[in-house]
Amino acid sequence: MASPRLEAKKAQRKLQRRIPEKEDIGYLNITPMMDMMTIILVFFLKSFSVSVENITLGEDLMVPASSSPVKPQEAVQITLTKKAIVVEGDAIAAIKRGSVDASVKRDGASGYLINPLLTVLQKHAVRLKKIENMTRGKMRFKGEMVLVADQGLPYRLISEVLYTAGQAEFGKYRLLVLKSH
Amino acid sequence: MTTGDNEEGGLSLRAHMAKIRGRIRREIAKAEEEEHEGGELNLVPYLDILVNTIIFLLATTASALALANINVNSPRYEDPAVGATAAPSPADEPKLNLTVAVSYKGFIIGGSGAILPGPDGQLPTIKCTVPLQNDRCPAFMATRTNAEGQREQVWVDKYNYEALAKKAGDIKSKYRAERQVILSADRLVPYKVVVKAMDTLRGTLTSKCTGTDGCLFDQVILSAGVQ
Repeated sequence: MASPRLEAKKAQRKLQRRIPEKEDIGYLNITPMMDMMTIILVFFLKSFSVSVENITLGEDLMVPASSSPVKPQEAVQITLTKKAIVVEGDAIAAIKRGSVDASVKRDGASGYLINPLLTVLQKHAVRLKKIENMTRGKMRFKGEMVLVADQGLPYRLISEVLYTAGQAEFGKYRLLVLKSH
Repeated sequence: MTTGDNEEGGLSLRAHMAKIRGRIRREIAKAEEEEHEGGELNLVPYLDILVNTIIFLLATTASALALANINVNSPRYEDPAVGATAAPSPADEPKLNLTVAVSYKGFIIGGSGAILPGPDGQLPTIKCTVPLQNDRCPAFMATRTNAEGQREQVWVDKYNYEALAKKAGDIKSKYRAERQVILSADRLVPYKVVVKAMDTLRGTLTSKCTGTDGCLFDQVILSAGVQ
């Protein structure tokens, strides 16, 4: 039998093994990785916020597919869902069963001009012209608008909206479509 | 080991062991404490959030990439400035003024002062591929039950786009310089049909046109409906 002192030393050594030893690398230094991630995040957020068409497709808004090769461009955006006319994120008029109410049109049921839409678009035209003046023609007002419309809407409503846009000096239409190959 | 052996050197083994244990425990606690105090902020959860946000943004921007535009003009613009590079048609060649109307019954094609009749001498020029339902060519969103018993939405569209593309090709071969087409549609014709008609007239639906080279009719002027 070993002496108790030796026994005790042995026990001490055994317990000492439980103390964590100092390693060369205790943990990964994740600070540079985080720097990188933050930069990527900021980059994405910025590019996302200025992306041309920031639309959410769903049940009420399903744009038609097309083989058009033209890239989308920035312009005043008019969105026609199954339920409403939206200009730059602001709801303008309600759509019921594929048409707007006759009371918001200048000439009633058979009319083409949608009054609230005209008012809003004229404001946009004034704003864009002001920008043109302030930038001394660098950001020219070209009268372009982007139409994002649900594929099931009747042509009559589309032409009413386009007519109204034309009256508000937005005469060049860009129809937003899903790219198909 | 029995208790009888413990008495040696005036210190019991049990007490000795307890003392050592105590010391080691203190050392472990000290080492752990050092680890906490000497470290930085715990950035790992923050990093998790960052990675998740980046993946989310990547996934959402990927869907936004698949968009395109169709440039059209309103009728009041005499000169279609969309293409801007169109060669002016020679003076001796009559202006075509190609007009395509998407009617309830099919496509009606017309030019300056004349409307093309269909093969049977009747309108529309290009008929629907199936018999008319309620006097209309079917083009609507329908709900059906698929093989797995799930309800799904399908787009039913019986307009004859192939025949339209062929006709447009025939017209183009006679009027090489023409790139302009006036498009209109009946009141309740869905927007999707109009867009597809534009695709067909541009030539990208059936042939190898790029859509901007004027290989068919790529300068669209939208006009109000015929009804």
